[in-house]
Amino acid sequence: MILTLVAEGLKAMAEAADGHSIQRKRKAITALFPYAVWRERDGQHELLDIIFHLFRAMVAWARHKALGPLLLDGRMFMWCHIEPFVTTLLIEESPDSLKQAIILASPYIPWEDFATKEPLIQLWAAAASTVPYTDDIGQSMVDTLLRIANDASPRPIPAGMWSWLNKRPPLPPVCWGRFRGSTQRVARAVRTLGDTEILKSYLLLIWSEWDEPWWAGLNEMCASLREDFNGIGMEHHRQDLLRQLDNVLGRLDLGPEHPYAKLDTHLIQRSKKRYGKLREVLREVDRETTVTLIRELPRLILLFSPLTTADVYRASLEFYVFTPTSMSIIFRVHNWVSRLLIVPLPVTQLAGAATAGRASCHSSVLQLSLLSSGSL
Amino acid sequence: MNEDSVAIQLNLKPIATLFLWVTRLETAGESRCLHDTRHQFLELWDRIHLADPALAVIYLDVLLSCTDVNGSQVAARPGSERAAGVASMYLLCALSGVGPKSTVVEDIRRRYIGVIPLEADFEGPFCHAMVAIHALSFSSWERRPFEWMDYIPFAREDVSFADTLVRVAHNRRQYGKVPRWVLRFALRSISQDPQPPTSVVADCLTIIAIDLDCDVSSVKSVAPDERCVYI
Repeated sequence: MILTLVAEGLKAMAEAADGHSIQRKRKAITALFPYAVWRERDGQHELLDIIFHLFRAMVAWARHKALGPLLLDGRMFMWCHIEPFVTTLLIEESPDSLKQAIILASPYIPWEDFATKEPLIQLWAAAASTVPYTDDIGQSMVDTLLRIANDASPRPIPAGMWSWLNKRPPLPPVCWGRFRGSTQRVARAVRTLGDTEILKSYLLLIWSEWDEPWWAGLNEMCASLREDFNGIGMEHHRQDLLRQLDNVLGRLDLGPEHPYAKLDTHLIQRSKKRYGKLREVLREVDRETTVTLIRELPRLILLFSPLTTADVYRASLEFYVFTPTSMSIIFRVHNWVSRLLIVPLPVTQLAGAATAGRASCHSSVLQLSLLSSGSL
Repeated sequence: MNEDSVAIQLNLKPIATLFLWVTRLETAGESRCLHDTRHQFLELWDRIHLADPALAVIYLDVLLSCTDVNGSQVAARPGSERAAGVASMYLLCALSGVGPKSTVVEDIRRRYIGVIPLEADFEGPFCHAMVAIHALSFSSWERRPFEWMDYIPFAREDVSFADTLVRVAHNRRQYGKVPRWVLRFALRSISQDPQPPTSVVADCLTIIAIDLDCDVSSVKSVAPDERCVYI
C-alpha cells in the first residue's frame, strides 16, 4: 500500500514533467532508488522505470527552460550516499537488467565525489561490455566516460572504453559529459590514444550548439586539427569535421530562435566565435594540404615522363583525377617509370590546372600523390 | 496494554525520577546492589511506551548522567550502556511528536547544548538515537551531510528507531520539510544487503512517502508487512 502511494505520487510528478518539483523532491527520489533496484533484481521493473522516467522528465524540462548543463550536476542528486550500494550492483553476478539500470543512471552519478572510484570505474566498464547496445546505453556511457575523463585525479579508464565514442550516440541537449568533456584534459587524453577514428568521433560528439568548448580545450582541439588531421590521407575526416562545424554554426545562427537565446545572447556569440575559429583552422589545414599536393604533383607527373611534359600533366590530371577507380594502373605504370630522372616542371602552370579542376578532384589526386611519393 | 502497564503509565513521572536516581547512584559507585533494581526498571521500561513529552526532561537527565563527554567524543559510561540506550530512545520518542518550537523542545535544547558540543562524535550502540537527538537539538547541524555510515542496526532497536523517525518526519513535514538526515537514514537502511526487516523497509518507504507529500494516514494502521505490498 505504501509503495502504491509512492508510485502514484511519482507517476503524477513524471506526467506533469515539472522539473522544478522533481528537483525539490530529488532526495526522496534518490532514497527510493536502492529499493527500486531490489525490486528490479526480483524482476519487478515498475518502480525503476518510474524513476528513470522522472530523470528523463527533468532533462526535458531543463531543455525546455534552456537552463543549461549545470542544472544536471550529479551533486544535485544524492548518489554519493549510495556508493557502496552501487558497487555491489555492478558485480559480475548481477543480472543484465540491473547492470543496465545502473549504466543508464551513471550520467547522474557524481563520480568525482566517490572515494573508491577506481574499482567502481572498472566494474562499470566491465558491466557495460556485457550489456546489449542501445542508443540510451551508448548515450549514458559516452556521457559518463567524458565526465570521468575530466576528473582531476588520475583516472584508470580502461583503454577499450574509449571506443564507445565511435558509436557516436546522439547526445541530449543538456549533457553534463559533453559540457565537461571539452576541457583540455579530456581533449589531450583522447589525443594521447593515437586513434584518429576515436579522436574524430570525440570531436563530432563534443561539438554542439548546446555547449561551447572550454578555452584551453579549444586550443588543444586547434592543435589537434593541425597536427592530427593534416595531410592528404585525412581529407575525408576533415570533411566530416567541417560538415559538423557547419551544422553547429548554422544552428547557432538561428538567433532568437535558438533555445539558448533566452538565457544569454552573449553565450551564443562566444560559441559562434569559438566554433568559427575551429572551422578557420580546419580550412587552413585543408589549404595547406592543397599546397602540399601542388608541390608534390610534379613528382607524380614524372611517373609518366615518356610522354611530353605538357601532355603528361594534362593526361595524369584527367586520367587519375576523373577516373579514381583505375588505381591498379598506377602501380603498373610506376614500376615502369621509376628508373627515370626527375625533370623540373612548370609548377605555376600545374597549380592553375589543379585549382581550376573539379572540386572533387582532391581526394583522388591526393591518394595518387601519396602512393607515388611513397614509391619514389 | 494490561492493567499493570496502565498503572505504571499513571505513575510514569515518579518511576522515571526514581530510575534517574538509581542510575545516578549506581554510576557514582555508591551502591552496587542497586544494579538489580535498575535492571528491573529497564525491564519495566521495555514493556510500556514512554513517549510522553512531559517526561523528556527526565530522560535527558538520565541520558546525561549515563554519558561521558571527552572533548568531542561522547560515549556511554562503562556499565551504563543499556541505560543510555534506553534513555536516548525514549527521549527521541518523546521529542518526535512535538513541534520544533515547543517549550519542551526549547527546554531540552537549552540543557542539551549546555553539555554536548556541536561537533560531538558519538560512539557505542546508542549513537544512532543520539545523532537524532543531536540533530533535533542543533538546528545548524540539521543541514550537515551526515551519512549514517557508522550506523549499526540492531534488530529490535532498529525497528523502533525507524518507527520513531517516521514520526519525526511526519511532525517536521507539518512545519516545513522532512529533515535530510531522516531521508538519509531511509536511504542508508534500504541500501543494505541483505535488506533490513520488512517493518524497517515499510518505515523507510513511509518516510519517503511523507516527503513526497503522499497521504500516509490510511496506511499507518496497517501491519508493516502489508504496508510494503506493491499495487
